[in-house]
Amino acid sequence: MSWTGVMAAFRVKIKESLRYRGYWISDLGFTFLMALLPIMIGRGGDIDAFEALTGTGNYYGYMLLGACTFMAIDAPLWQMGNWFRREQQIGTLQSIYLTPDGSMEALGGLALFCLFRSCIIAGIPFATGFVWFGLEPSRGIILALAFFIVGFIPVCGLSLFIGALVLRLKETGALLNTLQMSFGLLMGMWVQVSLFPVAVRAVSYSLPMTWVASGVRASIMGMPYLFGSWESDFIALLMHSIIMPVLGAMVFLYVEKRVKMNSGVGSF
Amino acid sequence: MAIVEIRDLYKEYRARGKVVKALNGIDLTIEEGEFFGLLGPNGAGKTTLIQCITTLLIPTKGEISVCGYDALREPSKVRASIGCMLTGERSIYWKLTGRENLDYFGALYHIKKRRDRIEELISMLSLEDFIDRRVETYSSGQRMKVAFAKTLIADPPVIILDEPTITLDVLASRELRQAIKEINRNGTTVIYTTHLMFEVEELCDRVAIIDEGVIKALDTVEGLKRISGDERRIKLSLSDPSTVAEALRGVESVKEVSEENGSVVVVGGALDSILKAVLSSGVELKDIDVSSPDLENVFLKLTGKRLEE
Repeated sequence: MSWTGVMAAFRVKIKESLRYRGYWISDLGFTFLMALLPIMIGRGGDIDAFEALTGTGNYYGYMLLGACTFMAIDAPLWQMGNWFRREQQIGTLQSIYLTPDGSMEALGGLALFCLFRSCIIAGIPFATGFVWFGLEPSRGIILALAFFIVGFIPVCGLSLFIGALVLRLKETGALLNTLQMSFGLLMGMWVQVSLFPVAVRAVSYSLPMTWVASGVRASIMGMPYLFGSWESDFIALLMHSIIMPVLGAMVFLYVEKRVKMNSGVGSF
Repeated sequence: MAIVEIRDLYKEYRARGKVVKALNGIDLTIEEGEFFGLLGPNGAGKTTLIQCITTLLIPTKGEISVCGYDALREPSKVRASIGCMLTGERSIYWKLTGRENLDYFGALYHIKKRRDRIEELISMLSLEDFIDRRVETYSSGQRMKVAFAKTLIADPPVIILDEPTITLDVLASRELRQAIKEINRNGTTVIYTTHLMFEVEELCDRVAIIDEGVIKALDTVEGLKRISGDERRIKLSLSDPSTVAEALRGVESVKEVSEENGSVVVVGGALDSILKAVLSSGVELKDIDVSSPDLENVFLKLTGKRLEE
């Protein structure tokens, strides 16, 4: 696997995205909407009750950060999962699989693109929201960024599960849409994870996005961390960063081999 | 020297709950520099065989080696040794320009001097007029040319082309065949699948006829034609067919002489002996039509079906 291949795949994704009219505008617009909807619905609610539930009275900031983190961290999962399907449909997946290590390099380039895209589609609404709502970060942006960047690694690992699912099942549009919103709920985009029943909370904790969303919010808004301190939450996220890519790669390679043993990666 | 070796290859897969036997014990050796044809109807197993050679599929049983690399144990090295065009014009990105496509795939093949190689291909395949336009604006022939250039980007020792002319018009098809011939003349081994017999006759050194996952015959085009048992047929339009027919029956190695609507049809025999016999009979020769046995008959004889079926 070569860095040149990864960078070439990254450049191709950038070029393609710029050549689809409205690609960036609609992505940015969607993030704004994801933040504005709960903000508008919850306006005039009981802030004291909200603070008692979440540990912060900053409702706007809570929702804004939730939406931005969701778009930045959760969306790449589907970008990468759907990449296989899209390449299958347009016919280029076989071309990539015909190159020596093309599938891994293309995925690497895609991961870089997703990181870049996340910075844009979450960063702009995040900055706009802070100015618009007059929010003040009580703690460090740098720590929040660290949660975000480190959290991206297990998310890429998790996306390999989604990729494997798409390779195996092929027609996965409805399933992916359902999973996407379920993950949004489970990661605590709208509701604090600590409010979930124990079993649901356990599922939430197994998702790296939960730790990113919580870490970003807690770092910026001074809310309590899931395990009480940023160090313990960060260690939990680091564990995800080690386990998730390894597990994801194992599952993906297993499914890929099974698919090749059957009718192949190019068929749809 | 053998560049592709296939031993006892089987491929089965499941489709809608049924087991499909796509390849049923293929043994094949392709020599370096050879132009090798795979001829067979749709569903014969040609594409499956290619997908196994290029490591896109893992065979159920059997061995494949390309340039000495084992396809199961060293798949990356096998892929690096092969340039392959499977899905034709759909194998490239339509939102990118031709040059961007070549650059991308050049990077995935780890080509060091990509710019030089791309310029070389542009010049070799005359892509100058459209290479910097987006592929979505190309004609079908232009897309196939760029897809072919992509196949050659790594300058591989083996190229595999799966029905490359199937969507092209006559002119574009001819141009592409010329380009492929030129590449082969420069030493690249070509494996070419088609169901068009004239392409096989024009291009291939040896041909394997494949049907139902089995190689039914493997030989040169001339060798395959001999399998059919057919001989050259000469149709002579004459002022007095009966006289000539009688004379021709005595000519050496002529197997059959028949009269059809004022003509005489001769099967077998040397052309010069037949013409001498006609001229010495003093009968006026109005027209002559010589037809050779074709691969369609060979295919029909071997498989019991026509190629278009």
